[in-house]
Amino acid sequence: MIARLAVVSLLVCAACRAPSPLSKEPAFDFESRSNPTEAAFSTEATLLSRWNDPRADSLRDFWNAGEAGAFKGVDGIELAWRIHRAPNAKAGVVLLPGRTESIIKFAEVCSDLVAQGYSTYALTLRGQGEAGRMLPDRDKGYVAWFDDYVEDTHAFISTVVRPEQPRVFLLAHSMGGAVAVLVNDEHPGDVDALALSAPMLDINLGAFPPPVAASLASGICDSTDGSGFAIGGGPYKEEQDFAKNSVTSSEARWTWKVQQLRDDEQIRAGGLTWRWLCQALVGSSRAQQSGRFSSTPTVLFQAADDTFVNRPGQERYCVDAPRCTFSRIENAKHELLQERDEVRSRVLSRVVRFFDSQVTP
Amino acid sequence: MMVLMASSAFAAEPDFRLHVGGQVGFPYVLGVSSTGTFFKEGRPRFDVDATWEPSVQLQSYSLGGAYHVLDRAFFVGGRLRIVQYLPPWARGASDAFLGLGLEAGVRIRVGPGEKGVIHVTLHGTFVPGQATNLSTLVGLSAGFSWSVFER
Repeated sequence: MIARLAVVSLLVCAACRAPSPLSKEPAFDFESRSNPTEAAFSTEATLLSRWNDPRADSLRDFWNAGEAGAFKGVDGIELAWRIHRAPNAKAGVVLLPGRTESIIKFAEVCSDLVAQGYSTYALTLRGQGEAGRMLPDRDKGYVAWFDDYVEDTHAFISTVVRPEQPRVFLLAHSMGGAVAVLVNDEHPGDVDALALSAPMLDINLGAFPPPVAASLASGICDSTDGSGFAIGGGPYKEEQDFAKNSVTSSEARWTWKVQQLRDDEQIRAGGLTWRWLCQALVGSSRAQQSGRFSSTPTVLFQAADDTFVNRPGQERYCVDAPRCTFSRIENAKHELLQERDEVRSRVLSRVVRFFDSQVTP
Repeated sequence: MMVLMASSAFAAEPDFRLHVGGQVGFPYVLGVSSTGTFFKEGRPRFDVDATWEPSVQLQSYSLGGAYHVLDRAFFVGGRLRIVQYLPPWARGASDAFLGLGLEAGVRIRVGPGEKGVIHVTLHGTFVPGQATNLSTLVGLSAGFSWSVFER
């Protein structure tokens, strides 16, 4: 162990920091708590009718009843947030979406968490969803520096969430997971516990071998401003065929997402740019390697059938992080929080049990 | 007489030359270097160099060594790099990694007294401390340098 740390320190000088002094703790036992059960969460059967129901207790009305606001992030980019407060909340849960995602997509998750006694604080990430863009072409997935996501989130937590919540948890998906890990790394004390859904700690580069993809992306980012669409990227195109989607096996939740994007063109986002790819490669790699510095209780959910992120990066983070519990979800695609009920309810019940254990050990 | 002429020409060849120059390439877009070439019987045998490759994102500071196979222009070599994946002015941490490289290419001597050197190099760098996606970088560079010192 000491020899390994010495070698790692020699090869990487990440500000020459000392790793967490904690030794690896036993994994959190989800079965140590009986509540909530998987039956406590929203179902596909009622999702679309709840969203479109004109009655006052519909999911859409729940979403609209939340407090909406915005603040200026790094370089003055406007970032939207929405808060749903639970009466006598156990804690505040910050929600960070994945790339291209809007926060309205998490309305169902917010509703479930509020029902479990948690106030939710959903934040859009720059360049997508309800947030401002850095390029005139709104479709382009672009970020100047990956760290901008981190500083935006830190500003949101410290100015909006912390003042009203003594306990702050973070539930983050995919790219939001990489951002969450880096927030925890760069601003210790911002969050008291992390729940990561298929975090983007190792991007799946598809048909391109990593040395080719990394060298190509770096070369293009070094010789251009990186604002062009990367290979395979392009303007937003509505998904037409559920069978061709690779993020969820829930047709109801996929249909709901498509409907949201059809209803509001402002939240649409297209393909990624070279700059985003370069920044995301570095950001996700940094996030993957930051586990050994973390002392924060963490649970990491891995989707067994994920084709967007590579699994070894998630495993490395959780092995290195002394207080990380690893939970692999079988027969699940990338979007665990938008998956079919069997998967989503299992993940959410585990998230809530884990958060509850942080409130009342 | 022939032997004397050859010997005289031979004595004029330097044992060592120091070149400074620049290069362009991929993924390291620009670079400046200082290269020392050791000659044997008038032909280059070994090179050592210090190279700085700054760019918009990737940064590399490296020391290289090369052997000219059969004392010809073709060479194979190794390189020790300090690689930063973000520049010093980037927002956020810019960690430095140790990289180990292999390279092959040609260094062709040109110009008056063969004081100029044109090089084309294919290189690969393994960065063992980095995550998988960024742990191997491959590239190509081409440049020109000029002798500023010899003995």
